Amino acid sequence: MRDGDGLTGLTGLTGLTGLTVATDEQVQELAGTARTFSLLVLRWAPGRHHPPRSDLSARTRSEHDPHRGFTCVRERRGMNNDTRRTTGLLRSSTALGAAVLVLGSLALGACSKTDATGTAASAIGAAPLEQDVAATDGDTIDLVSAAVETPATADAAQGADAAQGGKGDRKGLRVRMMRALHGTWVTDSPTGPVTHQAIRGDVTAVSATSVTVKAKDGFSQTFAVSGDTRVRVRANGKGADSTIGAVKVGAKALVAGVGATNPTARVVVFKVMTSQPGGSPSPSATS
Amino acid sequence: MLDDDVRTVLDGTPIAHLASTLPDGSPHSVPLWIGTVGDRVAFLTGPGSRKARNLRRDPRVAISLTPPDAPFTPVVLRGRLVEWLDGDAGWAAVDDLSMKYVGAPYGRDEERVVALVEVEHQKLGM
Repeated sequence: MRDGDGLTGLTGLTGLTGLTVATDEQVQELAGTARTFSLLVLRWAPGRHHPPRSDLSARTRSEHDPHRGFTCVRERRGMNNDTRRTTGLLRSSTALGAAVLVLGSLALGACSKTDATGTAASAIGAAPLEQDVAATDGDTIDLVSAAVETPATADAAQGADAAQGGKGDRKGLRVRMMRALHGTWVTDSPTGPVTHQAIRGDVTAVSATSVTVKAKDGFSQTFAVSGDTRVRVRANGKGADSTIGAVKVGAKALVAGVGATNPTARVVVFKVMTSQPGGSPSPSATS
Repeated sequence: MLDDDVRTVLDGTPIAHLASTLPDGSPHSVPLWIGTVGDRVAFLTGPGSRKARNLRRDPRVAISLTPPDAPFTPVVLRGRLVEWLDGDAGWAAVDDLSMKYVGAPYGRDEERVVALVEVEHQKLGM
């Protein structure tokens, strides 16, 4: 049931309607020019997760590998009950997990540098080489459209693996997220899709009701600040509750909120800049 | 007595290289901020840093730098560490250096002291 246009399984992502599903060639092209705002829905080709059934136990161990990347949002394949199943998976994911959608393109950019047979598969954290993987991975990272051939018999095991894999990959994910400057992602909710926005950079304007942050790439985003906005301060590696009044222009801040336009900040985390970053800007103070 | 031209360079924002001797006599050199306090050359350091330990054992130093706007004009100094500034006097001197280089006071996360060097030889230019 592979679709010629690569749109296989899109209906499963009910919270992400309106996304473009890219062909392999488009993914490759995007990976070469990845920007923080590139938004990709990435799926693993079935061959990467699903060994022959006789090999399942060995594979389950490999799924626990903490060094395995978490570049791709995995979607269970099936028949008509796909929608419900997949929605549940997305809904259970935290904002962190949802952010993978946004960051996928960044990580993929790195993947593309190792775009050789086999290494591409391991670079994106897919399972070690198998014959069928090697056969289909030769050209590019076929994350998007090849998910149709998953054997239905492996579905249960796959669902369990997905949960475990996501947990074990938190660390690698965090490292990748630390490089994110800004992004938008969408999660599902009982009341419909929710658009999240986040940006990390310098505070360029702040008042009791709004905060504006400019990222290193020049992108600027203003968030409304409400009574529900949580403000946290980080100083000397420790966090503490704070107020919007304590946020000053020039501070380093991370703001995350909801709303596609005029988003409202849910959390503002800023750093106190009275001391220099790292405490010792001068060279060789400890040498 | 610091030469006026040398002082002018030291009061700018060059990155200087400070050489001291390791316990086995081999050379140790690090890049650092530099300035003046009175008639002495000043730099800051962590009190437990390699250079601080070297200088407590052997106060002889050699310093080289070039003005940021004249990188082919060497300034070469030799001298002797004559005083450590710590406490409030130390932090005042640390902040003077920090203000000069980055326009902000120095962080207080780590202990810092300032070393004062009496210059015995100085040479500016070729």
